[in-house]
Amino acid sequence: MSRKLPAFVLLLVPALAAGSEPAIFVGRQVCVSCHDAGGAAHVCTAEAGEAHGKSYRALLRPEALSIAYMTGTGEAPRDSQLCLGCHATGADEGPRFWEPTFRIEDGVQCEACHGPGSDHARARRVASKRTGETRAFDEERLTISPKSDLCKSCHVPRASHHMVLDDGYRRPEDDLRYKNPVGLAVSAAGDRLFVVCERSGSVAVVDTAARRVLSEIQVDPQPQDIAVHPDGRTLYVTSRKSNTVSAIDVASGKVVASVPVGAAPHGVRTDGAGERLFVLATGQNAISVRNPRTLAETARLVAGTGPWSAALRPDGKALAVTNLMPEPAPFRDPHHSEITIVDPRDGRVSARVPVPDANTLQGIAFVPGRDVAIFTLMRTNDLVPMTRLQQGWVVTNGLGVLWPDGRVDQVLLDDPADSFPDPTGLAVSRDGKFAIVTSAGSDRVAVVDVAALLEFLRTTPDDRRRNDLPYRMGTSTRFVLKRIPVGRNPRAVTFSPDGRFAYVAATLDDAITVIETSGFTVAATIPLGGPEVVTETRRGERRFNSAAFAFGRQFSCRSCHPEGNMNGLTLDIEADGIGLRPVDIRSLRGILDTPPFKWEGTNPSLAHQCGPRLSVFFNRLEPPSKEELSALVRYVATIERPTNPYRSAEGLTPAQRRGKQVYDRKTNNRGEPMPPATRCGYCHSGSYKTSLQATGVGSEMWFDSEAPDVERIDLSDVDALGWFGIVYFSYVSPDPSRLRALDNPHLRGIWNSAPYMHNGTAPTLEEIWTRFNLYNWHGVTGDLTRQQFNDLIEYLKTL
Amino acid sequence: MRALMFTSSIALLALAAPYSAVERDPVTGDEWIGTLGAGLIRNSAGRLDRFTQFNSGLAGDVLLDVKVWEGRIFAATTRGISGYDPRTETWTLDLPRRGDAAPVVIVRFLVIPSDPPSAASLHGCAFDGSPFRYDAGTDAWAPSGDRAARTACESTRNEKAEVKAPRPPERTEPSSVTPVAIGILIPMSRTISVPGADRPWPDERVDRVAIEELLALRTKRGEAPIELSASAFTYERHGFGTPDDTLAILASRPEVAGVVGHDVPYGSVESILASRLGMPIVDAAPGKSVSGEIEDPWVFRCDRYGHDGQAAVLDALLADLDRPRLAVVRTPGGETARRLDFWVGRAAKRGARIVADVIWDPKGNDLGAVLKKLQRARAQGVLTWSDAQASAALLGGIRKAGLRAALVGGPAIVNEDFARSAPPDAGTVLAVTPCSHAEAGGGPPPESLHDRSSEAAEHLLAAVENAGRDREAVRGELQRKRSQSVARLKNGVWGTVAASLLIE
Repeated sequence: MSRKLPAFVLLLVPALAAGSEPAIFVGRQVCVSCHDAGGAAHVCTAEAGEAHGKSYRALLRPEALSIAYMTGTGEAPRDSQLCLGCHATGADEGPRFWEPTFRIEDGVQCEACHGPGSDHARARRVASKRTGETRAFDEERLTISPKSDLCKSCHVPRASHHMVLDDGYRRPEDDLRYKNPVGLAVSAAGDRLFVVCERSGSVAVVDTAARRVLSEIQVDPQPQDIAVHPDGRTLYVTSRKSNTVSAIDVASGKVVASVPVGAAPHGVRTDGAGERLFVLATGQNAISVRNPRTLAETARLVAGTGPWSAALRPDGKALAVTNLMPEPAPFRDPHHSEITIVDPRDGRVSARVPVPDANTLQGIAFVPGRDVAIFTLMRTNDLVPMTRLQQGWVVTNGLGVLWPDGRVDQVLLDDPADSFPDPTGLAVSRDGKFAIVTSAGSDRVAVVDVAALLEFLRTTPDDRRRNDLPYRMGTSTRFVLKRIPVGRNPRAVTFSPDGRFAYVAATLDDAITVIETSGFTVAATIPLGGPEVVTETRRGERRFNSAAFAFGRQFSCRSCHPEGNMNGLTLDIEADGIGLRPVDIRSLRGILDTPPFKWEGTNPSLAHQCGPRLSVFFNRLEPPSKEELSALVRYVATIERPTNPYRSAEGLTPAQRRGKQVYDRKTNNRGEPMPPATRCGYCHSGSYKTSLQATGVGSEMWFDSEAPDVERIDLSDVDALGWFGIVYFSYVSPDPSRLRALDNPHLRGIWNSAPYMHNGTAPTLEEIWTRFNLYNWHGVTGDLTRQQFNDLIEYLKTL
Repeated sequence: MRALMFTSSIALLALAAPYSAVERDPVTGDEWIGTLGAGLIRNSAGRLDRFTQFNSGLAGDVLLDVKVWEGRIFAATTRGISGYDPRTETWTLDLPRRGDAAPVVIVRFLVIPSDPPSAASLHGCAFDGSPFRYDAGTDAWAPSGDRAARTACESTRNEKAEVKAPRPPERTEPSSVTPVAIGILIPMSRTISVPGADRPWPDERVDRVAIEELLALRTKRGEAPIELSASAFTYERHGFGTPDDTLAILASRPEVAGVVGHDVPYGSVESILASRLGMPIVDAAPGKSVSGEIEDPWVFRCDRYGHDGQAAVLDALLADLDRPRLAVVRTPGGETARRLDFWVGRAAKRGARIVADVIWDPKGNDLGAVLKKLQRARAQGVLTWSDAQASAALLGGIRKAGLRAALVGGPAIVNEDFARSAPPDAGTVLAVTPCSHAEAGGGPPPESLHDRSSEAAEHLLAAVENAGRDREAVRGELQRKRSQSVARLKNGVWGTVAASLLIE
């Protein structure tokens, strides 16, 4: 057949000349230049082609915003890898691998199913002059059956789409207008209070005398924490969504600079002289040391796991950093968390203090004049089955005291019948007499008599300090002066410089509660201007963050899922048998479309997961009403994923692309075909990288109880398995029926969800295969070279 | 405040491993410690984070040098140079090489100063003394023509590694046990018990025979038993941990006086380590010759049989058959199946067609059914890899059924048991056996096995007994025996094996 190719295809050829490079996307136009309706080898039905072609445009429809909202993607649908994964072609690889002829607007194009076509187009161009034969395509991809797994990887029911397209759900615009104050700072003169509003992405400037909002400064999305430069002229704000730190000029109220700082930053502080800025890159376990004027990084220090808040010692000689997550510990071993001590004078880590058995360390402050730091902590009893709820012994909440010699004491703020759930924010008055701790889960703050607390510890025998106080409820009567109800979900607190007032950020009330310290009474509430209306999502958010539903108000959803993520522990919930199946706590970010839930996959929907089942084991009280449950599910669906720091706007790096090729490979390094079920993309398929099925990968331990039913493979069935399949299942996986099937987890955000495996036994991505895939049951990885393996990890981190 | 904690007990244990380099990051103050066998350790104010080939992108756990360069950490491992960027948490891997030659192992980093200082360059010295230069633009290592680097690298050529042992070995020896140990290099996993060792030994293929020989020899001489040192398990797969790492770990332990091993893939690596650590290493059976190794008297190879020889037999079998149709007979057992699969793949590459894939459980006693299946499939040859007894029975049956078979097996299979159980005409079967077996015309092989393992043991004992006393003499002795072996190899022993079996 001789056929003249369009001019742009000829132009394409020189660009495609580099033969050893992986094929790239050429776009539908190039494909149809040969394969149009009248041409040869046109096998795709026109109808399917047309519908697929519209898929990208669907992302521009207004409903798409609501769907994206329900998936927690946190981005505009046209920018979201999650949406583009099924609504477009070549999005995973990114623009770096698109020819100029490629247009993402063409939606799901030929290359979505048949693979990138540059090699084929080039071969075609050369071959058409001679034989007309071209074979630059992978044979397996030439014919795609409408029933193939490839189609099913996207064509599955999605709860988010159903909710919007069938049930008519629309994102309430009020949801975006809430303020959610989470961070506070006071000006040196005390006349201004700066309130970091996470939801509205702004810093509200409050006149403390008039008790009203003066102005609101828009900053990067999801601001977290704020620091004031010692000269009082500049504010620094971290933004979790954009992975940045911004500098704000106080006088003009303008953002003057904003720089990337590492994944999901939270805390920010300057040193006493204002010469160094410390930004906690929470998602990457690092402390970024920066020049406060240029914001340029001068060093990157190793923190604990999830550095959260920082406090400067009054003499300026130490900066203490709390870490949200415990350090990785061997399976079912006691954990500890770390307080990282940085010397601000040389910008280096000077010491690390372990806090045994504690987790979710958040607020921290030094006591002026005593060089003692106080911080909030939780003690999640993760090593025993959760049978002790009635005794108040599942999650306990308290304070840590860090002495100048590095000793740490732990005391509880819980009373036997009345817990103090989710201690989050902490501030100490300038005179060092009082500390205020917020209980985000019970909408209260506790006023601590610092001298009494320290004296109590000093007079307690050493043995009791170590082995009794950390576990003992009720001791807080010795040092807590008062518990004061404040607005909903208080997460941050600060004192005015003169010590007369304390300001508490009531996150889910969009308000500041002002406490008069003379008698510790609520003096006023300053509204920050959020919507009056309470949407269903908002109700769900309040429920998620409230411990009111739990027995004895011990914990909220947030206790184990701080910021909607997870606390890095493994729990043994007794529902499935005491001592059986301890499971890794999973992140809740963007999970609506990843049913079934739980590692055993027993809950078909979020409503099942969060509803009656949970209530039986967690709150021991009545299950939530239908309305409450619906609100909770709505909110959980909207919990956003953090922005992936490993993925650039241009798409994959060469190493990441190579890793994707490993992910997608169909033959092993010996050139032998790999049966579909042994490839990464078989179980981890589609946009979420999960087939929504359960698979046995040999990760179960003896106490993970038997699977109810697992498909048995008939080894004599040559037609079904092929010879290679028989060899594979006889040798690589001798008895697959014995493997316990577990939920195929989605892989989105996997860079940020360590530890891995259903029971959290793999602290790093690498160990999933190097330690737990000895028999190639979890995909065939045994033949990978080091380079291929490293590339694969690099690719996985971009998901 | 003082730094009091060790965040990981595993990392703490790793500090007991000998280390080759300590490098301080001038910006963060963190210490990077390169160990011989325990990976790369970061000491940040007492927090020890250990990066290994299992939990990170580090190429190998045996580090010969570490350098912090422009914010990145470079580790010269025995499996290539790893670069780690703590800011992006990414690992790179580079295998420096000259032209198309095999990659070289970089043993030491050098910074060649320059004026202005910003133009200073990072170099790595290969074991043979040639310099490689790091190019930040391409993020690759290439041969360097820098004169200063060449001189500096030359001057340290063959210099013994400065291995630091932070903990001197603390041992109180019972008088009946000699104060030396033999390291045994074993690729993977199952456990057997070895007489004389106070705990079970992981075993896989060949080494058990060598160990038993070793012990038997000492007993015969009336000598105290040798205490056997521990051997780390290895992963038999690319990239994640290989026998050379284990070898290096063993070789770098002060109490280990010698190492006996089998089938070490990177000959140059063991050569380097042996020479740098002054450690005799006896490789029981690989039959591989690696360039450069000849000059090194510290590594001894028995040169009897191995993959090359087995491959030769297989190739000969396939060449002999017109459009070879092969059958595969599997018997239960993890490692044997793994090996067999390797050979099946190899045969497939050479154009053989697998016409039957039969699973046979010798305990089920259904050999007749298996043979029937083979005949029905009209197989021209049979590939199998099994244990000694099952192999013998199977091969006897195959012989009776008029089929040809390639038994791909070493002395763990073709041994005394095999000889006892095999029918008298088992020699007509294609079998990979030690040299003397073939030379004897396919007779029962046990003698040759003893020859082989005794020989290895003798060499090792000689080396051990001389360790610390007269190294030069041991060196000379090993050199002599080694050249004999090399000569045997050069005489084309393997050609003889394959031919003699095929002619039959």
